[in-house]
Amino acid sequence: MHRRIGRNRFAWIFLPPNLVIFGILTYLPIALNFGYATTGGLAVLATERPFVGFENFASLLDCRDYLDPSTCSKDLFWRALFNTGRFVLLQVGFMVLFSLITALVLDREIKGRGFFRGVFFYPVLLNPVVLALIWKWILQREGVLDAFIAAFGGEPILWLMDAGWSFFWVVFVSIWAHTGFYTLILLAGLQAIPKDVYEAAEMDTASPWRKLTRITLPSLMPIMLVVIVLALIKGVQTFDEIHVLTGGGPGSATMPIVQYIYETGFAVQPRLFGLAAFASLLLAALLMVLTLLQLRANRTSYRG
Amino acid sequence: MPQLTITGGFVNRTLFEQAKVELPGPQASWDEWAEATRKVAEATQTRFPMAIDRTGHRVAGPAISYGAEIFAADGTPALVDDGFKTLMAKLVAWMKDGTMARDVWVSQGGAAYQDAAQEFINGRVVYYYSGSWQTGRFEKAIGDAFDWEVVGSPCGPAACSGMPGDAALVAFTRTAAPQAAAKVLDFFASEPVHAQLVERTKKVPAHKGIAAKGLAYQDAGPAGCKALQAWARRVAEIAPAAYACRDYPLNRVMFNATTTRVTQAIVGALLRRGDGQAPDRHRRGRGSGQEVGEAAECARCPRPYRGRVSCARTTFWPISWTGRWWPCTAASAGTASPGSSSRPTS
Repeated sequence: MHRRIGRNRFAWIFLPPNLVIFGILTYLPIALNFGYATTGGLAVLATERPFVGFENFASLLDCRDYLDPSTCSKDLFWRALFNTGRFVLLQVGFMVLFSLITALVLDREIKGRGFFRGVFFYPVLLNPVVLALIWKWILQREGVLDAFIAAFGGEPILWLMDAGWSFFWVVFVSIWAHTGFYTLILLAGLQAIPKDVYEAAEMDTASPWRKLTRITLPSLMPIMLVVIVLALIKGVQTFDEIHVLTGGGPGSATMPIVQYIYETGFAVQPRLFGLAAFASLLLAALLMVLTLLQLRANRTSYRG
Repeated sequence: MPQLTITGGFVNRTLFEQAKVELPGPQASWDEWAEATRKVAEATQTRFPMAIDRTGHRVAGPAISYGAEIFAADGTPALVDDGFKTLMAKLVAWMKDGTMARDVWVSQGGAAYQDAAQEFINGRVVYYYSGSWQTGRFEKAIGDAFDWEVVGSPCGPAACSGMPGDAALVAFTRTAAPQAAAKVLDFFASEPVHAQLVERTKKVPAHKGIAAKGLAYQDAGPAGCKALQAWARRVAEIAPAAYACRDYPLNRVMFNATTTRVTQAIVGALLRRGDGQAPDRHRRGRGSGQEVGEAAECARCPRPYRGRVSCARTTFWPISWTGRWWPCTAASAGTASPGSSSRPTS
């Protein structure tokens, strides 16, 4: 059969089933999303929804001052956008830094290296909902942390009921959960750096700091770029951990953009599918830019 | 089966007795309850003087008691008025000063529901505002741990109203046997049958006559029986606005917006950047008569958008370029009622 229909045409026999699955589960919803984004009303069926053009877009961007969500018509969208921006900046920045430090330490010949590698990677194996629940038990009123503080005579703190603290813990938990994964990638990058370069540097009596800044970091830069872009994409998509840990609260202090879309479209009445669809298109555009950056970073990394 | 539910307060009587504080009377105001429960909580080292479920539904009754009308004269929703604002300002202040259990509201995001029933069962709340459906649960869970009772809804200047809810038995209009269906409905609506049904299922009667006569609730324990009888007596105090709110098909939109915005107010997320003041449009309330200028401005919108209020002063470039996408985004000015969307329901 392979010979009869030719090598290239043979692939077409296997493609249709996958195309059908992807078509129904991926491309059709994307097309529907575009359709819903230009419609209004509360009806679920697309045929019953009035066409409103870019009204959802205008509604989302209706602000007097774009730096002050309180002046926006859809202020929760902007709050969620700002929260996501702050979250991504802090989470990615600190996570990449901690991942790098951990990878540098774990790359050295230290005692129990395998054990520590396992310890740092362990949270990655946990389901995000499970780890958020664990942290919720730790941080809630009369939780483990408060009991610990009380045992030393301290005053319990309402960690998840204060806007500042809850944002801090959302970032912290996310860093704790994902650092292991990026450490692993950076560790692989570190181990790929040829040892003879270090040997040459040692012969030139280079200091450890000089070796780090002149050999390790420049060699690691392409991998680092991939790590940063991957972490950015993952950070923008964050939802499950925050939803379980704080529910986006207190108020809207930790609500990420994905939760806004979910609540606008599905969880809270009125279910504004059109608005949620347009917000998700904006998110998709952002993710597309980040993905293009990642592809570019990958290419840079491949070329060395 | 037909039944009523009604929102109102439960009180931990044992804590009042321990604190030697007199229970406020049936016509006591929210302020009097706040004062009394604060004293009790302080004397008995109880964590929360008061708690109210995190939902706009629960605060609707108290808001109506403070004069909130919920609807304009023409029947369109007008959630934010002076009465509504007065009650919400009190709630926010009480949550901030610890009179009301802040945890219940700020431990959740969005419009997620959260009750404080477990806190009441654990004896950590002096006064808990929830509803008649909690009666069975409290009877079972509290047992002999402490004495509790139903005190209904505290009063405001306008009423002492809770929010009603109900379940009803209905027949389809297209039924093939309308006579038989009517007979079934009549049977269940008849006084002796309905009385027996609500007594056995421990519910509040949806029948004025039965509620007025009172029920024995033989299957309920002493506390449960007393509570159910108290709920039935409170039905007469439900304000007409509360029934109108219950019957409005999109009332959840108002409830959800209330939950989200009140929580934001509690955590201070509605303050304007820089001056610590709520933005103008929030303070004024759309369609309150102060927006005539904006509405007039919007009258210049292209036809599909004409008549809509709230033209944004800052326009996004694609919108102002073409003139087609004039940034008028809120409800129709012609139908907007006072304060109907003083905050967007994002």
